[in-house]
Amino acid sequence: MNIKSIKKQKDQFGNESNMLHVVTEEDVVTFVPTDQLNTDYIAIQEWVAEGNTIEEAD
Amino acid sequence: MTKAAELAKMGEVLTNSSKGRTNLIINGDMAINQRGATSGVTSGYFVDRFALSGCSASAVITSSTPTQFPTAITVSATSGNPIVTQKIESKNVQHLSGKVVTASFFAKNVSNATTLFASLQHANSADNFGGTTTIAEINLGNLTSDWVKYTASWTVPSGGLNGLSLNILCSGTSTFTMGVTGVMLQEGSVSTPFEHRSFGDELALCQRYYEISYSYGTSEGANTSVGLITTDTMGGDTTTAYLTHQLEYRVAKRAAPTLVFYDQAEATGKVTSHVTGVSTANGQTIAVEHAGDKSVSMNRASGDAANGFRFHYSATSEL
Repeated sequence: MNIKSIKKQKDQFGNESNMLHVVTEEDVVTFVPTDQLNTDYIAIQEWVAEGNTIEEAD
Repeated sequence: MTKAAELAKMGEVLTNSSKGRTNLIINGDMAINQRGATSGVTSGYFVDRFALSGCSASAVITSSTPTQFPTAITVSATSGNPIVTQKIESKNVQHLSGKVVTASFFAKNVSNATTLFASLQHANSADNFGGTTTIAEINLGNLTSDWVKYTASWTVPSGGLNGLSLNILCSGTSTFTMGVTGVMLQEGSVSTPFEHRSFGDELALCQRYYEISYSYGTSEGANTSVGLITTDTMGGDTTTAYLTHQLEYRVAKRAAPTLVFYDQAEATGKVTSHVTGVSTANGQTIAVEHAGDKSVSMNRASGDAANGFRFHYSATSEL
């Protein structure tokens, strides 16, 4: 997954969702769960460790 | 082999074999191809459950196969090693600590491929192959221009319970290409004939890791209404506010999957809203919550007046 940007989401009650809104370099919108067993979430954690930032939800 | 030796081997097979499925590899005959690509792939997943790496020229599905297999793939490189890999999740190898496992597969030199290797690795933590340990890489000798069945065995260490990765690779000269199919990994030191499973069974096994709403044979992101998921509607009243849907997967996933949604204009992150029997509108932004390995909640928070929506999706939970 080539990450362009990541944003948190809120659920319909205003609570933080366990899904991240991810836009790839190819401009594909994907939803990645904050699940330690999901390989894309593992990649996101590495992306953050490299100094990138996940945007807060609107 | 003498009759006595043959009987002794058969006895060993019976002793070492577990009941139920023999082959730990899913889609070993490479018949399942939900992603649909038949060429042009150099890395990542190709036919279901098999990932490619080290390929500097594209992999292709070939009709030149050993007799009992409908499908084989060829992988190519100009340097290094093209590698065909299948990762096996930890839940499926918990019985193997200290046990011998044997891989078998058919391979051939298509052009300029010389030496064949097989390696078995394990993940350093459960189902996380970001860090791996190689148990052993075995030189299986020279490839020939004919399909030949090769075998290799390893003893699985305790770390193998984190999940295993079987890798088939070759070296060669110039631009070199190897064909592979009929992949098995089984408990015991003896290779038995390939375990052919039904197409439906194999597809369901693959869908634990990747499934799409599109009909089989149609690739993700295709422009088609066939197989569209349409939310339940009561008809009548419409809203410009919340429309919701609980998407249940066809097969429970290995872990909560990564999701991509498509509207009828193939835009991602969008769905198509509708007023039943009247009109549709593409480009409605979708959000998701409560992600699990069996289902996820979808909602369209605002948009055109509608009483439901429709979409295609993919759900990926590969290793």
